[in-house]
Amino acid sequence: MGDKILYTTVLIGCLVGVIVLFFVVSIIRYHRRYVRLQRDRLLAEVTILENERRRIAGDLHDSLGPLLSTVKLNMGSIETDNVFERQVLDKSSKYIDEIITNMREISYNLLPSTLDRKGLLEAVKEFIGHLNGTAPVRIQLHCWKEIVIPREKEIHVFRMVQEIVHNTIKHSGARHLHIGISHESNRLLVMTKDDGRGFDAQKMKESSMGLGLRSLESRAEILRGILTIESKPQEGTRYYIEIPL
Amino acid sequence: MTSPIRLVIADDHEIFRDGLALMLSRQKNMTLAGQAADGGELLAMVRETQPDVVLADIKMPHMDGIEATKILLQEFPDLKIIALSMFSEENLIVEMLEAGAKGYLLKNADKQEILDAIASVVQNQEYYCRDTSVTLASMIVKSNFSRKKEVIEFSDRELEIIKLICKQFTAQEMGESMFLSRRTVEGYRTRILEKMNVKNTAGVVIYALKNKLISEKELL
Repeated sequence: MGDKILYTTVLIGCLVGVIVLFFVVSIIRYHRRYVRLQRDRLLAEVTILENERRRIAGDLHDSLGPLLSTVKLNMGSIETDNVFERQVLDKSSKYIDEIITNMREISYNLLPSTLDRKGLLEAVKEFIGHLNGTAPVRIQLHCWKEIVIPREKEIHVFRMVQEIVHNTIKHSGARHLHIGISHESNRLLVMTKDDGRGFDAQKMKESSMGLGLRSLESRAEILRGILTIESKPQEGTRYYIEIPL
Repeated sequence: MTSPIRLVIADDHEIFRDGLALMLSRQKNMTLAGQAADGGELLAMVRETQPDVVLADIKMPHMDGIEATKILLQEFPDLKIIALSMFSEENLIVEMLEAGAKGYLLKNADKQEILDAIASVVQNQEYYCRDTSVTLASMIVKSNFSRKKEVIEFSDRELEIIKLICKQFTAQEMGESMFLSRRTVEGYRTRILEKMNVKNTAGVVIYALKNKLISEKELL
């Protein structure tokens, strides 16, 4: 009789154990699947975004640009002695220059052609070079070795650096920003440090202000990387990004 | 009367080629020897017509301007190639110059500038587009394109004006800061351009950086 109770208890115990185990395993599997799906969705979204940017930049460069240049050339071919007409032509030429300058900037912001041709490091150097003439922040890039990372990952790392730099310029009031990029055996490290006023990263993420930060997180997630932000009011901000290669 | 300069233009946009051809066809001392829509066509066209100057877009399908430039200069070392760039992509311009192009123009350059560029390269001078940024200037200086250092003596006053030109001061502003008349400053400017054998401010900046008359830091 005692044995029977024992056996029944053990059996029920095992059954409950199996059910619990099954339940736990399912939850873990479900969670993993969820995470994977989430990442796939993010990747799809970002890929669409980047492709669209590339397409628009291409259109500006290949269709609108040459057309405008041609209009300007044609206007330059008009010969007139009438002072008023000359002025109108000159002014219109200047406007076309202005349009082209604006388009150049838009195209660059959409997708710097250097990234495709020369890779991450050159693109970052160029990006910083452009800003160092105009932005109030002095940006220094530190890179010790050549960086070799897969093409499809480069765009995300570049966008993250861009986002950090833009955040620093827009919100931190910093005077200096250091960016370090290094490639170690099987991972890429991006570290930045500014001397600005800092912020409460957690609070920022929760508020709608943190759109840029969320985009940073999404890109880190796509790359299966780790993003750490260390910031305190008045103590500057540090970003660490670690990406497995 | 010297024989007219023979030109070939290469660009994958027909409209732009037409515009350029129309403008060039009205110049008395130039003739258009041919047009090409990509690098491959350009090679064939140059081999067939043997022009003096080629205006070539950097970005073209099949074979880009950089590749075509390398090949053409091996076959025709005296050929003068001017790069055309739509959006001043600095890295591409530097690559094209390193490949052997003699100068470059942005595609929104006006008639006079295009003619200036052609005249410069025919005389074996480099030509840098008027809109050259400081970043591009310093990239060109660091590249293995720009010519070797030269020993030309400049007076203190000239050196001072060179610095101001590099900093994009107008003749008026230079005059005010140096207590000289605008005319005097313009005279100095002309002499400096002549001495350096360049056509515009971009040329002065590149010359000054290369010969260390000014540092990159001073320009930023």
